Amino acid sequence: MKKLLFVFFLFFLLCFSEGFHIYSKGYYFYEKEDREWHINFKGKFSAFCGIYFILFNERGDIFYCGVIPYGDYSDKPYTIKIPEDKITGFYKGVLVGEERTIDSLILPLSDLEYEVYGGDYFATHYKDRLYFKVEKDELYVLGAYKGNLKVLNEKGEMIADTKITKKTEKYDNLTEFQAKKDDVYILEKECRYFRVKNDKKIFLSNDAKKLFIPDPALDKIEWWKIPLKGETK
Amino acid sequence: MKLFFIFSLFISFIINGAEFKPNIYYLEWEQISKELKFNLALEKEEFSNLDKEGRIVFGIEKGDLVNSLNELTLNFKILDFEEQKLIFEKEIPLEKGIIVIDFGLNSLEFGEYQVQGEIKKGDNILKKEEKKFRYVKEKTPSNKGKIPLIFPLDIPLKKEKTFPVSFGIPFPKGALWDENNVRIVDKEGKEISCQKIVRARWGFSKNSSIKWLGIDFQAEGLSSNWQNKNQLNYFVEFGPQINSLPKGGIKIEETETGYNVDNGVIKFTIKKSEWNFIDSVISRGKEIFKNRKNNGFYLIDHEGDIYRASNDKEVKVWIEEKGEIKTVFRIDGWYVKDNSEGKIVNYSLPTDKLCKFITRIEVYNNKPYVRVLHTIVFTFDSNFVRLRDMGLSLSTDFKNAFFGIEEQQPFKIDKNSFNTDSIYLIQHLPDKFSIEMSNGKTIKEGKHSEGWFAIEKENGNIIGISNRETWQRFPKEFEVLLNEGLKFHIWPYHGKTHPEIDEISPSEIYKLWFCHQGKELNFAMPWKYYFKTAEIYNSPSTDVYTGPGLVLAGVHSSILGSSVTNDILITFLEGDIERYREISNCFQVLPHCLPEPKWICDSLSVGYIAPYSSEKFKFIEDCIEKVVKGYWELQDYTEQYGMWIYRTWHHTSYKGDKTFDLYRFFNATHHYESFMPWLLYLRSGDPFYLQQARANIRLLSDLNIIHYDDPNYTHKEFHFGQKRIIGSTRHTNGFCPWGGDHALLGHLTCYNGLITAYYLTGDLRLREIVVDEWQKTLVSDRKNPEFSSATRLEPGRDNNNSLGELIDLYQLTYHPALLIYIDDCLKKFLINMYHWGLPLHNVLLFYKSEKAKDLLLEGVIDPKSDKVNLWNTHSPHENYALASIFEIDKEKSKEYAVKSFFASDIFSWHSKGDKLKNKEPFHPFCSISDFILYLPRVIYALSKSDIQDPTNWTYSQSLPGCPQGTYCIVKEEKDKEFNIVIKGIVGKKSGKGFPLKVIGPDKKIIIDTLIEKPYTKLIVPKDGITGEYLIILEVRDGEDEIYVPLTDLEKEVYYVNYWFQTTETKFFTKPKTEEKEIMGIKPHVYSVYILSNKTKEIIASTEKGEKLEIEMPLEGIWIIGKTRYMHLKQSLILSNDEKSWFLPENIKDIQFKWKTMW
Repeated sequence: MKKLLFVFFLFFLLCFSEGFHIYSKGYYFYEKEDREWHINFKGKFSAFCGIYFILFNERGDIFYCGVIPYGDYSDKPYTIKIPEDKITGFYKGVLVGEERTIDSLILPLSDLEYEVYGGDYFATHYKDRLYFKVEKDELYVLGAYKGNLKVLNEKGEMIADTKITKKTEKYDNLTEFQAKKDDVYILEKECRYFRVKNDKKIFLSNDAKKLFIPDPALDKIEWWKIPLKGETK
Repeated sequence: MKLFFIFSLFISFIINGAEFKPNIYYLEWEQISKELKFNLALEKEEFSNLDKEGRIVFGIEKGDLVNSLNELTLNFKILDFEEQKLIFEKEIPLEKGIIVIDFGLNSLEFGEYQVQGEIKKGDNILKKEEKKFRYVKEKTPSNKGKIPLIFPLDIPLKKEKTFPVSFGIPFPKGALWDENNVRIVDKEGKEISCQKIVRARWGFSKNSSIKWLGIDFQAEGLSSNWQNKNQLNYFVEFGPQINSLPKGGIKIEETETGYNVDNGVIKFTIKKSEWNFIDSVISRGKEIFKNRKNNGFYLIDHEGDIYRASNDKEVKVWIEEKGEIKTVFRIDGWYVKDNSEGKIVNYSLPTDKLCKFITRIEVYNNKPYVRVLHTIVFTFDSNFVRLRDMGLSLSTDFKNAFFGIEEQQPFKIDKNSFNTDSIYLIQHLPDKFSIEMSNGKTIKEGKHSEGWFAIEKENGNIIGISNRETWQRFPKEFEVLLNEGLKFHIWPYHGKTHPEIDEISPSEIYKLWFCHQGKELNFAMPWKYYFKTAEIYNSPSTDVYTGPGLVLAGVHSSILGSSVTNDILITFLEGDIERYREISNCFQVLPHCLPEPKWICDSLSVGYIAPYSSEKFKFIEDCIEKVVKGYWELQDYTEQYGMWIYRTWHHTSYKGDKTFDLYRFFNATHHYESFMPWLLYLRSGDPFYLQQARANIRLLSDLNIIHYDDPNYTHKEFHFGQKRIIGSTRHTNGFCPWGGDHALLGHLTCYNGLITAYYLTGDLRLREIVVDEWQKTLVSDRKNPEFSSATRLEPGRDNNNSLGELIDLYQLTYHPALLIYIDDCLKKFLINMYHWGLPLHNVLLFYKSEKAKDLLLEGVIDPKSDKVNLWNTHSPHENYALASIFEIDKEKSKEYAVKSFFASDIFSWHSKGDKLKNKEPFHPFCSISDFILYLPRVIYALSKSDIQDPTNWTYSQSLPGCPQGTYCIVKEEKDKEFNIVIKGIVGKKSGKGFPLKVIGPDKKIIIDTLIEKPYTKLIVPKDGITGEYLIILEVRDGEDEIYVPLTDLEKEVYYVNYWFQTTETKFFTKPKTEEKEIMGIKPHVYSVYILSNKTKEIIASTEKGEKLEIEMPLEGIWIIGKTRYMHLKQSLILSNDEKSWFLPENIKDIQFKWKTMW
């Protein structure tokens, strides 16, 4: 009976546990060795006009450029196949829209080993720990919109906490820490939206093993000009 | 004894007045507040004898802590305020959330009254409120008069005798009580048959006097007289001696199956079920038209399914307005799919029902035509449904077909020449139509359709369809089918695509080509619109405050809930095609008239506004025309035509080269724009404004307001995530007229535009939107989950615009529940009076709030000390004008009137108007209405103070301060004591004073002091000498803000070689000698305008602080400056006005300490 109850409890958790999702300005992938790989959109796309998705690399090669139509892909993902093509390395995907229209998109998107979500603005309902890396050895300032967050190092020691820093900027509670490029940081948050200040970026995931720092050249691609060119590799 | 008793009663009545017997009743009030909420809402703070009846409303929301309203009671009292004598008291159990107390005012004596209200639970008082109202005597206006009618446009008739005209006329409060006391007479005084309907009263009761009367009559052909007021054709006469009843002849017989109508020329039937438009028409005893069962209005979806109005088994056909001259039939229903059960409604396919319709058929006495206003309300999502066709079909045989072409003879083709199924004229571009056969062969091409097509039958009868604004609202198609008859395609069946147009190029993208061309009507904005905008702005922003972000909102938008209305005339004529063409062309004009604008303005029905006066106020009137007409011309120049965008308002800027800032390009009526052309029309009769107003109001009422919601529809707007709620107005944020956020109450609405349009034209669709959509939601759909996000009542512009709007709505419908909203808004308004729309004006004119008046009149003395946010405004001229109107002191009233003129920034607007006229870059459009809307009030204030030339008027303004010493020279003509008053602020930051010296004509120092506080009065005694006194003020920039004039002497000038100022100023100056004098001035960053003293026209100006040099005319000039610092090439002698100016002798002794740089 106890076993049955335990199984029932596990099933309950499974049913009501929140899948990992996050809205960010960029979805980054790293293909270590050339292979066929996939991007699977799982979840409900609530915008009737669909969501526009663009996938490219730092050279401006375009791997996908088009609309993911409105639909519920919770059970059967909407899959994009990137064939084995003698191209490896970094990719960036952009989903055009606001987080509300894709807030049920379940991550990770790809079946690649490395996948991070980067930029200076994030939105998520996900409550568990996140892991992130930074681009540079510099001071990073994070802001939690109408909430709080703290940063821990790999050892689990707290190195920044908005509740301690007690600085604010409009609706954001701020905290800061001196970051090192190759270190992994842990983010614990009590807010839906958070930002990285001063035009800096972080790259995060819910799985530390998936972390990497993408090629900065990816962010120099003017992706919004790609759809008008009408090219997809 | 009996006589004595009657006499005693009479005396008692005289002494005590009638007994206070209120009519008390309940109204439903949805309980949405979590807290106990209690409103004691007075209809107004001041009633007069002309009101006859007054109203108090108690609004109660029980909150979460009280289980039921039944547990509560209301106890209220009315007391004589001065004597605290009880007039009335009652305890009422709360059955519903609103208790209305309507009472006759004749039972009260003139004076002040107090109303007290308590909400009780048992003996516990839970909430208390009290308010005061006044009852005053008001002068009764004349109850008779003869008002000329102004026709803005020609009525182009030769063959036809008359054409129907529907208009509205206001009356002052207390002037007219019975519509039968009104008639229309022609210039010979002969009474013309007319039909009257009361559109609004001055109070809620049927006993209230009439405010707006709608009149329908039939006018003969005539020439416009709006500029030639001596050429008068018709008059409205009113007075108690008149008893005018309509003498028309529309006969209507209602049967079980429909209505049989006989208007004297044609008899026709309108079916109550299977409504196929008009079922049959009989003329002279013969059936000349018979529609088939499935004719009438129809749609075709992108899968080819046909939906017909005639398939709707639940269609509602009724008479909305009945009369002998004009009767309006209203038909409400759905388009229902052929062979379906007509039950399923879905926003995507499949669906049985696709789109609702509201059709009004206007029948006129003795006319062979009916006007049809057909509104289609879209009930589908843009991404799931497209339309192949929307139209009206009439079944008829024919001999010849005709298509009207502007400035050409009609194109005629006989049936025998048809070698295909149909021939059609398609207006596929605003400047291009083609007449084609259904096999694709083009027969003729041209620029503009004349908006009609017709067939001639074997017996010579003509059946024709005319559509207003056909090329302006392209695409449209007129089709004659060999075996079917006529089809007017609201969306063309033979639509064309124009690959030659790069639809997303910067000069085309705002024309929304995706829904103006092609085989199918597709409302889904393509993604490329977003990417192109991102490219134009070089930013992929999705934010609501960016151009790309708003275009992305357009991509996400949906047409569901918006509508389109077509204005159509259907004619069944025994006559030739030229007669039909004349009727059609007259319909295109849509004749209208107005009572003389002065009458409208004097009635105060639209508030404190002055009639158009190009003679007295040419400078202002020219500016209004230049700006508003320039706006329209720019839209023409940039070819903004099409059925989904025609005459929208814009928010941001024109960038030149036919490109605009796309941010908020489609602005519904964010800055109260939609009221603007109606206001300008009713005060002038200028046909331009009528055209602009009509075109824009259709866009607002159709596309910018939500008419339908589907409870199953999950779509949310991209920004802010709102769904739909009926009656809500769109904002600016969707890059299409139907997308983006919206509000029922908020800063972004202008229902007053619709209300005013209804008063003037009688357009029942506009009233329907205001009353049956907007008001209905406000008073009975408060529990709708979308209600709270659509009622933005935050203090400031949202609350205050809503207040103005609600007062206007209340005066249309007098729904008691509105007073609760007004009460809530008013409380917030009196704390934060930020101006948007017409709140202050309406509160002062209708509600008559003493506190609002006091705050205005206190604030106007020193706007910088504003504590209620009244002077933080786009439109300070409105505040000054209202202050002038309400100020009792005549001199102050004049001063405020003059200030209202200068605060309008009219000099700068003259040059902005030139930019619009010249199609130069312009920014921002939203400020146009902020400027224009209140100018009629400025003119009213100037006229009231009898000021024609506001430039030559003295009022307090900043002293032209000069560092290290400002020299003011005054001239005493006759020895007397005079005062120097230091008004303003002293030592703003330091708290320290500044030195002041007065040197007499004998060069002796009379006063040498430190001015430490404002309003210091210095007395220069009568000293036995006269002449020039030099006042040296060592005022400091940033520290002292001193106002001039300093003295009450007639001559007072300021001698400067540079100056700083703390307000916008206007100074008069003249050359110091008879010789040629070049004046050089360089304002710091901002504008300066130099006006000729002779013509009052701008002779030189600078916008951004460029150097300006002109030869000063001998008669002098005015320098109007907004800047803080003025650099001069030479010294100047300034004065507040011309009569104060003189050339001081002692300036030769003055050595400026400040060295000016040029």
